[in-house]
Amino acid sequence: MEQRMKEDAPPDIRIDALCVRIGARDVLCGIDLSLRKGELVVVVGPSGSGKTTLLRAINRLNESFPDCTTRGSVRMKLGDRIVDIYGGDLSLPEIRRRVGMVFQTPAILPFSIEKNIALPLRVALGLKPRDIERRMEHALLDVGLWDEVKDRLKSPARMLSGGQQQRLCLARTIALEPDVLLLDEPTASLDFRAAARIEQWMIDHRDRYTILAVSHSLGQTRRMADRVCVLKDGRIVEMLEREHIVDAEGYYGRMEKLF
Amino acid sequence: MKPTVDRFWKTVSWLSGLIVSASVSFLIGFLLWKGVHAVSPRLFFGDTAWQDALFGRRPVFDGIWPAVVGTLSLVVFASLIAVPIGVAAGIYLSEYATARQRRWIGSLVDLLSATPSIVMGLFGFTLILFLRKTIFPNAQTGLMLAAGCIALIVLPYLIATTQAALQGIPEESRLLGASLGLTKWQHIRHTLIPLSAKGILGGVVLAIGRAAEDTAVILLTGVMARAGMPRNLWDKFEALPFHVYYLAAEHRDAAELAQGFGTALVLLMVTTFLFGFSYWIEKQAARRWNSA
Repeated sequence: MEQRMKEDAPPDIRIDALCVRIGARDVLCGIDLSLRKGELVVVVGPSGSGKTTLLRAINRLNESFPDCTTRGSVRMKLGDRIVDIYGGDLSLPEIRRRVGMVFQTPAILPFSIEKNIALPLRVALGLKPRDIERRMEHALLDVGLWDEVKDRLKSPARMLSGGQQQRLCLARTIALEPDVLLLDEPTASLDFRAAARIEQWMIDHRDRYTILAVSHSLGQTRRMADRVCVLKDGRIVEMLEREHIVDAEGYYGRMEKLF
Repeated sequence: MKPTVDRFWKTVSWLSGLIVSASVSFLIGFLLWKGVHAVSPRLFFGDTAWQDALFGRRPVFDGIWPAVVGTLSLVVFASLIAVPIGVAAGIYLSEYATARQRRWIGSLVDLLSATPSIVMGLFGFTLILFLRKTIFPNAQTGLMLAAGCIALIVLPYLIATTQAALQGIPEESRLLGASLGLTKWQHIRHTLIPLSAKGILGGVVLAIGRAAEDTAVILLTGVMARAGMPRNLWDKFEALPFHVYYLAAEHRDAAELAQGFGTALVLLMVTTFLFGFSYWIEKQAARRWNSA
């Protein structure tokens, strides 16, 4: 019954008939996908299948490339309002603050740890130093980095390890207080232990953010996904629900066939 | 077969490095040998006391001090004109221009960089003739005209290095600003420029070196032997490379030739100082960027 209610409520993100064309190539075609808070959706697929483009279609980051055209619609629930991401209801910077993103390799700025988080808060949101400090501490605590860096906030962020850098990027994104998180293979460049931390973070925070993640690892996907979206040649070829995922043999067998 | 080819290219690159270092060492050594004994307060200030010369209380007749000041002002004014325009044009080409605009403007920049400096000098000279005949009958060649023409000569270096530095930033870092909700300009100002600062500095250093050594442009746009200190921005001036050229061509005795070598050595020191200065500015900027 509860499950039923959840299905009836409008999704937090609803993608309809999404097509993305970059240059002369149709990278994504006819994508329909709904995302809800509390349900971690993981996109898998061979390289070049359009996973990154799908994520970047939700925060309209594909538009940074001049030869890209997007058709279809992406709608987002904002309070009790539904806004069309491509409809001009929100400005581009506003969309990107509400739909945060973390990249595959830690994209740190050549600044101090502190400034990496403070810069977008100051420049994009125009927050006062006191609010910036508060949000920074919250975000760093949230990703479990506070104790590791609280005594060296002024030292360059590049001195951190890869895993710490990626958690810093995550903290920088959540300090903007987004509703949606797009995580593009955030553990791909990390060692096993650092990857496990971020993986656990995603599992722990699925009730707080609407999360859409890309993963390169079928094992990781199986551990954390509530739903798996298999992408191939720009189309969704399979949606696996929880019951398909828990059955290890069936899951790997199916993936073997799909890839 | 493979190891032989490998070893061959290794030797070639090793030798090339050696040739460059040897040439530079030889050049500096030669200048030192010929010129170092000429470098003295007398070379700079002639018969004038240095305190009087530094504060401009007395003119310097037989020293290169006016030429040092002339070259420094030329480089500073040319940089003040060229660096903002060049960096801005590089940003435009890399971040705002369409592929078509980039192609067109890019070839114009290439054309500018292929312009011989004597042609640029002629351009400045003709400009003054034109101004004299039209709106400014009193226009004459001088420091600012020379600085403007030098700025045109060094612009392509600045544009090309800025553009290359910006385009060398990896894709995810380029998308970072947008993904954090920064507007395009905020992104350029706060993330792209700091990320490419080192590359841009390389262009500034090239431009400074080029501005300090040029003789052909200033020859036609305001440099004059024994002009003394420029009294204002529009006045005739002296410059170190021109002084070297002048002494090399018209020296009357061995002492004057030695003065020429000494002047060349001073020019080398002035450019080294300017490189150090721009490096220091970049360090300061980096420190300011790094602290919140």
